[in-house]
Amino acid sequence: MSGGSILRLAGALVGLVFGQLGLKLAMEAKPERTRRRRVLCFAAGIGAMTVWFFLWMGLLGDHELSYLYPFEAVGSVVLSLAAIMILKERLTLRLSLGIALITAGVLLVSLS
Amino acid sequence: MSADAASPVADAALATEADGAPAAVPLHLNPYVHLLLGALLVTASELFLRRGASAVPDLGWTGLSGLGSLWVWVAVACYIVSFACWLHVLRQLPLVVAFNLMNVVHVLVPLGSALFLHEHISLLRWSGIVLVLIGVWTIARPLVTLEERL
Repeated sequence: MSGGSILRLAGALVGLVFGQLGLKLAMEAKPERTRRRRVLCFAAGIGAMTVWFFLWMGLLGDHELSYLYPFEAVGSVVLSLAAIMILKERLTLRLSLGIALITAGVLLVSLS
Repeated sequence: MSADAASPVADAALATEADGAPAAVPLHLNPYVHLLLGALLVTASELFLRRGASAVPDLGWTGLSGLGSLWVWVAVACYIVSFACWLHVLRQLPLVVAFNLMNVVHVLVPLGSALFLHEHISLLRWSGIVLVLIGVWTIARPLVTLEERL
């Protein structure tokens, strides 16, 4: 994979993680979260997901789908950490084990 | 502390059981049904996107010229429907659980690309797919058990 592709992949992952965090913040109905703030989170989430979509489409033009797609699972680990740190979600032993297995699987696929 | 107890749906389920009057979640409102439907639609979308990307000679860095392909528009339609499913899921499940369960697409996409795009899957890649499946099952099992109790 070339340096340009790695940069695009990193950009796509950042877009994916920020997009999902924004959408989750927008969809959660919490009293301290005003409607205006939820709309802003939704718009930011959509914007970040749009960046991810176009970078991803460009990458698909250069690489096999079955090779490229598992790289996105790296986002699972980053997103899980972000959800725990920012959204204060709970991380259990079983969940940690599952994430570890998924990441190991992704590594194997990317080595193939 | 378990993954199922972290879920608002699971909390509600435990609460209704404690009351002695379990209330089943209708299928069309079940977040896990929406999650599965979303995963299938994302898989279809990726396959259409790959077909569309292959049909366009030069996509460039942004991939914007791919919008000239009909396959890309079909992929976008699949994404939009899967997005609606995903928003319903996000409303009810913690992000850390939902997103990791959504990783089942990492199994569905290679399978789909082998079946429909005739891409080759090596033994190493199969091993990775199996590990991802075990990981998804490890996360999903307590949630599925809870749904069965409902």
